[in-house]
Amino acid sequence: MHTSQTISAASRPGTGQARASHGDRTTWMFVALLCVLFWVPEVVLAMGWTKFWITLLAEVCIWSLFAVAFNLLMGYTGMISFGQAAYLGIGGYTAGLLLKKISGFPFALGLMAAPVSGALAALIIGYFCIRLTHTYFAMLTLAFSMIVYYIAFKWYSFTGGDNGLIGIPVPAWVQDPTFANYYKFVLVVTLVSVYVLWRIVNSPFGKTLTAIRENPDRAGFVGIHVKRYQLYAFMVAGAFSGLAGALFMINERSVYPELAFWTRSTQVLLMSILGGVYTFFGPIIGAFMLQLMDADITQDYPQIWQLFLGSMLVLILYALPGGILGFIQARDTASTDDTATRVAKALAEFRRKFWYFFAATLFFTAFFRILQAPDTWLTTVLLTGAQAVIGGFICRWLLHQLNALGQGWRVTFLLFPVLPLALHIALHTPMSGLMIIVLWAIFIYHYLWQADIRAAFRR
Amino acid sequence: MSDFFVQFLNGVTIAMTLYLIASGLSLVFGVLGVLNFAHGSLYMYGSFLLYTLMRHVFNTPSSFWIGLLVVPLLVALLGIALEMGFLRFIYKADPLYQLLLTYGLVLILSDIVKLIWGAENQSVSRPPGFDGSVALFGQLFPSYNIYILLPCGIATMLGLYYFLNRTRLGRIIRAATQDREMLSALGVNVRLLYTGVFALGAWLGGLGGVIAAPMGAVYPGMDLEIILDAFIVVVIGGLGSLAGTALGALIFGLLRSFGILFVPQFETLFIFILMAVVLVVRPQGLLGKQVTSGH
Repeated sequence: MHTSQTISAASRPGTGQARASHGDRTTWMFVALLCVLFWVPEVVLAMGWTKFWITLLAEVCIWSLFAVAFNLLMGYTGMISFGQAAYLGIGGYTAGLLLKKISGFPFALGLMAAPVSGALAALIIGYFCIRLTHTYFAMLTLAFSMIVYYIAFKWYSFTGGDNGLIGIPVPAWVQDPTFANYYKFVLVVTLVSVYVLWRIVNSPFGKTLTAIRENPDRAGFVGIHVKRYQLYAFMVAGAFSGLAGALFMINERSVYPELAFWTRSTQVLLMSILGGVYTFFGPIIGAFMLQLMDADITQDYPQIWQLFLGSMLVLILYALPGGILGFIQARDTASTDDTATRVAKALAEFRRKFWYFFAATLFFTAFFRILQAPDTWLTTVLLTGAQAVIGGFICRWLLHQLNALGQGWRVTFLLFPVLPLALHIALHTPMSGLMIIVLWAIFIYHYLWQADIRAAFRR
Repeated sequence: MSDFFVQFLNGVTIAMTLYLIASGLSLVFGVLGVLNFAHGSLYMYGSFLLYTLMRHVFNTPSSFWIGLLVVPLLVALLGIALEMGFLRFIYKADPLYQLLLTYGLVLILSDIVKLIWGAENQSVSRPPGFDGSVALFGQLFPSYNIYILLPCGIATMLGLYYFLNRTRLGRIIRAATQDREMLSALGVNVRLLYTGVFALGAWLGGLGGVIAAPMGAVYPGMDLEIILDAFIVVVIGGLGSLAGTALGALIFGLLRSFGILFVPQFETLFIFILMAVVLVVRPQGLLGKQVTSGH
């Protein structure tokens, strides 16, 4: 049975080699992402699409930040919290209360108070939680988050109780009708925060956390103060979760106790698991997928959303315990392999995973198209069948050509995802279906852009 | 003084309902090592199956008695299906992955309930002869609570005690909590035993669902509400300890009934604070054994 333990240590972040040399490239990737994503509202408005996409993307950004912060605990330090939403609530309420109760309180200060309060709360709660492990740790974090939830829920005179804290003043520039400014603000805050978190997990501090996850006893033997580092990790996660809470507050200009409810903690857990807990960017992919699928399914079929979500979770736990990004990144290499063996192995893996993505794309695009237009299900099924046969033959032939290690075929593969993407955009497949194709593209780039593979093709 | 007894009896009523549910949760954790999130779903299926039986199959209030016998068995069958279909494969995995798997089952089962029975609140009538009330200490109590809930709860408590401590099978189950490899080496079919224990846990959950159904509404979402309460009870009492579960349920029930009297609105908060305090001071629970690194 595949479980978390079966993922080889080499495929986990922080244990792979040559991470440091990728550091600069990742920095540039963040800058590039910021430059591209910054102009999304302009594109959406220019194309005449609904501003729903802008708000959805903003929400995905906040969830991504929350999920990456959470994964610092779960994936990097190995502490699975069932109460991370507490800090979301504490951050949201701190910023909200400061802005609402003190008239003229500077917006920026209110926002900055959120991560500070999140870290402080994490210091207090974490002080008790880190003494426990596994199930008991999860239960205690759950208990504390429910305490936070009930305080917010019942303390009418201070937090507004279950009516929430409404009408929080935010600057005029955030509240434009198209949500473009709000989105840009959230995007910048999220990207900067995620970048900071990236630097944290790749610092000596982050490596120490990874060491603790791998083996707390051994980490202790080499002189690491395990509990103290766990508390620090708890505080960092709490701080960024608090910031995410404040961003949620700005979106609705109100805070509700639901922000701290335990189902939010499980939602962020699902995102991390879906994307891959042992990867840094996995939770972001998980956040994207969950929010997009939620939007696509809940719109027309709210009654099956949990059914779908639960099935995905069970499927991931059994089939891909490393999550989607973990599946993409997992490589079977031994230190004794020479270059030829490594390349041969990588190409064999590439072929195998390629077919998985081929099948997943067919299944999910068909699934979402049928959900969107149930009347034309027969057409969709026939169309998918045709794609399976024709596409299957094309892909088989293409994969066969890869054996020759020709540079031209490598470029062909890099361009390949354009084909299904264009086809499904023309077919009006919902966003979640397109997302699978994008993941397929990420997978292809990840494999064919690796240094050893590139070198093999350059010969 | 009579006020005190009234609240005490109310607390015991809450405790009995919770014990019926939490005992199954605790039993499954003690033997299988899985903290089963889906236990609340089994409870919900018990309630909904009783509703179907009483409203659509027999359509008489007295069919409650048939439900009391049949429905827990049906839920036990569902439990067997879940164990053989999903849980069986992950006993060696990280305990938290097991918890997550059962959470996935919660999501799936809750939507299936909505697809079958709809999203509305339903209700189940009390069995004839037990729909009135009884006067105790100058206060009226529903006779259902006094004559059905309390005896059923006490019978379950005694039955479980007798089964686990005085029968051969019970001894084997207790041995399984200690060392499953050794038990397997001694020729016991541990696989079958685990399925059986999970079925017993599911049966208890179904029984809880049947008995709780006439006392309140039957609705999708009751699974998540009850599972948190059940978690609190087993955590306070001690994961895996049935005596602890009984004590935890009693403390929970009394805290809630007296809490409403003295600190209305904040009684739930106090219960969570108690859970946190117990976890900090005595993580293994009031009557639990020492925490091992396994769970």
